[in-house]
Amino acid sequence: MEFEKIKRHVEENRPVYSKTELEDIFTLRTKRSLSKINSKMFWDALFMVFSVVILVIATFMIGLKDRISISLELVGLSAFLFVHYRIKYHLLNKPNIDLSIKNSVKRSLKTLKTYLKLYQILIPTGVTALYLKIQWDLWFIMDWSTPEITLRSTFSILIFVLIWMVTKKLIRVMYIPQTIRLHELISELD
Amino acid sequence: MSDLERDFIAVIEKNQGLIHKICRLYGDSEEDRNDLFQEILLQLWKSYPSYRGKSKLSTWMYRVALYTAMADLKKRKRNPDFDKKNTSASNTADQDFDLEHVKTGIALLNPSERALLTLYIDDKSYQEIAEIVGITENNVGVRLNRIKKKLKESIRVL
Repeated sequence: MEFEKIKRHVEENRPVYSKTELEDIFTLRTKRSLSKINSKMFWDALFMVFSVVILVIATFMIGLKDRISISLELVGLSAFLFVHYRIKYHLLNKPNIDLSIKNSVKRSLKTLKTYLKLYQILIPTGVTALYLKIQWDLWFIMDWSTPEITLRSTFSILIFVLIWMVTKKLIRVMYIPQTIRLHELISELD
Repeated sequence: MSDLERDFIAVIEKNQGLIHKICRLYGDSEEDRNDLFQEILLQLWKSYPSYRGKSKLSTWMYRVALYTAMADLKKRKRNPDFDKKNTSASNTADQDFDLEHVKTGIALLNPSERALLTLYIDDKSYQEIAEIVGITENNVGVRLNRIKKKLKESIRVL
């Protein structure tokens, strides 16, 4: 009886769009939304490439002794960030819904969690490694005393903790609500 | 417009009833329904190139659309204005008593219950519902009974 009422309500009040209306919705909304998301990521990636190019040029212009190794490090870091963009792009643009809803939600949650774990570990590790490498290079040029070396090394721990905390906060703001929603959906279906 | 885009529009045109049904059951206002329709279209378009035809087209569409609608409802429920908006809509807009029953009943259901209801009123078999949602056929039966009870209860309270 209740189901019948709902069925009637759904059937009676159903709008039907013409082909032209659907084309308009598709062109004006769907394609625009998708291109907005993708262009944001594209500009992010482009900014990263430009930053790397400028930094590499700067190392050569300043005439740093280790300009080649520093440039290679920068390229390595940007390669890592490129992988990060690819994962992000796939998460946003290629949902795998060829499975049942429950399995799709589970898979999305698993991918998201793996991505967040990697993000939380690799970002502070990468930044700290870069800091240590710069300190290592500087150590050959500067005449540092033992306490100064100890202080600079200890500072790397501070950098790691700081970046780790910032990354964690960023994840909490950007991704945790999504993770909670997916968890709730799974528990509702269990 | 590319061939793929034209093909996609044709698929949507033919099966749009399915999306409207879902929007009707998940959207609490006209604005919600329009937004949800656009969101579902976006998700369908994103996953359209990866549709391999392993399942029926309507089954695939149901999966994507329900997945989107469930996530969207969860998102809206987190909005502090959700309950206020929901209550005021059912108090003011409905002159028809039956319609009020229906809306109050639907509002009581959680996203996954709405998914089962959508599939059930579209005359899907327990097997198809189980396949789309990812639960067992027995579970489908149990949950549908629970939904019926919830809806009956909402009518009794009114």
